[in-house]
Amino acid sequence: MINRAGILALLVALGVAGCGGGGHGRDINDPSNSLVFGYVDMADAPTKVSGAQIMQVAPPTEKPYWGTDVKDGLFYTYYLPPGSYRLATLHGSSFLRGEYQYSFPRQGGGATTARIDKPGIYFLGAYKYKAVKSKFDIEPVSKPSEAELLQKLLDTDPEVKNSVWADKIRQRIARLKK
Amino acid sequence: MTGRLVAIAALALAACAPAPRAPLNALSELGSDEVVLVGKVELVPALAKHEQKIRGNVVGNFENRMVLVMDEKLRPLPEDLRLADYAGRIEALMGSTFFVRSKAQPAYVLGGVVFLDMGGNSQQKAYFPGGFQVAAKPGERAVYIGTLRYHRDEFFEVQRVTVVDEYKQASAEFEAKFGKGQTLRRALLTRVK
Repeated sequence: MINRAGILALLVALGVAGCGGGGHGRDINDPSNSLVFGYVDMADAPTKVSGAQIMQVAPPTEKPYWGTDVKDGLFYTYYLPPGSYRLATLHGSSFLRGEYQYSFPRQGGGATTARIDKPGIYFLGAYKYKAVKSKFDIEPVSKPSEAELLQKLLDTDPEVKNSVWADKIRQRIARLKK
Repeated sequence: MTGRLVAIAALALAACAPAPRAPLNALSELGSDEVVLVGKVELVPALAKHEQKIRGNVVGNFENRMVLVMDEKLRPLPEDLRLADYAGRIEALMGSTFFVRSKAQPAYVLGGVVFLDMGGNSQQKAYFPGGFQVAAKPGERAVYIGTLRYHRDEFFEVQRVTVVDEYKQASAEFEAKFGKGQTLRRALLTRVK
């Protein structure tokens, strides 16, 4: 298992961090889409998380980064085509501390990666930020659960609620609660 | 500010790092206490287009290369490599036979590093395990150490490491480069327990 300690960088240039859900021009109801999501508790971090990027590592592409939507630590995108992905960066800012980028190592990744062979719902896990000298790490946490996060997604994103994802998410929650 | 420092550190490696083991073009260039190391590094699968991104004013050539970090003493590959750790490295163009000059004495491959993203806001590297002995001896002129082959997945997790004997091919390249009548001793890398 590769160490997940990441690099913490205070960004000089704004704009790098700006990333809402980026679908690369794909439709939310495209049947080849997958929903990929996760959660990071940033209570001990210099900033909250306002953006996250997921990197497509296979097949390799010139523009590998997919933006996500972020809500209170929950990050998600519902546009990913089949391939292999990893959580690449988190972004955040605060008035006093400025703009931060939290970069995860390109190598390894374990649970924060996903191999998507067929369309579906993929959970990257729930984590808590932990400072490690000038770097950082994330530790798995049991709460919030996958079902709780999916319910939150369904309750707070009207676009998801009005898409093909609503039924798929409800079915997934039902399976998780069995 | 930290982001900028990260970028500068990446450039500094290329500009300020101690010298690598130099490529050799003629055996006559060898000093009396030197040997030419002949070998190869391979990634399986090889780097695909877009898997490596080298941008901006990076001094040195890192494209499709693995830096083999070497030392005269066996030690773990440091998690955070300092510039001094790169002294005497082998900058191996992956998939091609290298011919580099080295002291005619045992040395160790501590590990390998491939720079995956350089010149942007962050520097991304992949590390490859080492712990191999190079069994060069005083008095000899040329040693074949084999092909160090790393099998990996798309996340650069290393799945298997093998040392492959491709002596016949390497010997032909050695002869073409340095002429006939030179002895290339086969001494494949060995894993040190």
